[in-house]
Amino acid sequence: MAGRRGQAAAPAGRARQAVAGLADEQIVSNVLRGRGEDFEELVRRHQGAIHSFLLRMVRDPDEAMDLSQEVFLKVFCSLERFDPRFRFTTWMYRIASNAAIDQIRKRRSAPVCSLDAPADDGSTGREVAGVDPTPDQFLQARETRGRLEDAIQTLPPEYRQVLLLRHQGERRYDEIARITGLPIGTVKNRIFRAREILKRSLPS
Amino acid sequence: MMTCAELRPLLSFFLEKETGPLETLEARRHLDACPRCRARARTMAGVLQSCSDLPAGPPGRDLPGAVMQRLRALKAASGARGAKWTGLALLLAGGLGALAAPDAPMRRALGRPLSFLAGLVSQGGASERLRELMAESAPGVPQLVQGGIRAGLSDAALGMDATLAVNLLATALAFVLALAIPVALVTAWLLHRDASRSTPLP
Repeated sequence: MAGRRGQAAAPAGRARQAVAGLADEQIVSNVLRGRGEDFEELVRRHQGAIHSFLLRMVRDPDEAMDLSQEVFLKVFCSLERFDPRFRFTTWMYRIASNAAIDQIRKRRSAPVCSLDAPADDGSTGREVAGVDPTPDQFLQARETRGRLEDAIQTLPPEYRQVLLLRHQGERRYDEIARITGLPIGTVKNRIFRAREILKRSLPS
Repeated sequence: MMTCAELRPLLSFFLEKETGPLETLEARRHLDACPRCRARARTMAGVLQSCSDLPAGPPGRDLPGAVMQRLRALKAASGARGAKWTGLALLLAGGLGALAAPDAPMRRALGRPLSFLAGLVSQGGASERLRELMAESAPGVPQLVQGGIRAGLSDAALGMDATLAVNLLATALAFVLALAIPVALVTAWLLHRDASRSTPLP
């Protein structure tokens, strides 16, 4: 029984490995041709970036998780409308960005949740990713990151959106303009203002 | 030369190498000459570095598994919707077949309204054609009509109008059904097409 299961799992593993080597746009093309299960690789590939972006935008881990699912479902359901001339990630961030802004608009007066505040499970904080702290710089790095996270959360959503797209999503300015539908000058202006706010909040 | 106020909004973009050649040159010249702006540039470089170091990792829960599970649930729901519409279409098609078949009981029950109307149009002589049809579909009626004629009553006075009205009603019903069924089939197809997404579900 276990042997048969093992035999069945082996081709699945090989297929996953083959998909893992493909570019996003090729996987999209596979999915549109009927290989829906390949979509899992896209989710696997971008879950960290999208979830972290949404978590910093909506500031609630459960909400961010639900929103991440919604975003990927929306991405899947809209794959037919994806224009392969553009980068898949730009298009995906556009969907995520709109979803985050919609969510924030829905609940304007939600309480602030610090990423560094103690979590319900008693852990030290709501870490959004695995961090490799060097022993000698651990405290300083942690403090700086905590201040930065808090400062990002105090930014107006429209500033936070463009800043996170730039630094966390690693989007170019023209891509951010396309994602947000704003002129590039407005994008740069918002990012400049956001950085000025962050600069004031961090130790010099 | 660029002033401090002019450099300030450009500083972070200059540090990211996102300024044009002329602006880059001007900014560099200004920074060489202005210690305050150099200090500001160092602080801003730290901000940019901290922002770039923002951690991004997978969420605690199995997001790909959850997404794929929801997609499969969508597929199951879409399949059930498809089956419902297919069932409806088959039912309607069956109804149409029952009506269209030459010796179908439903068609006989309607008194062959289509052929009746066709006969009226093509042959004229409504009264003769009507008697003929009535003899086929409702044997009791001609005797009744004959009885009425023998009693000195005209076709029109005795039941002829009623029979004609019944046949016309049946004809109208058949036309409505004949029109409604294709419309329903097309509507069902359109609804089914909209309900089932184009991206093949996993």
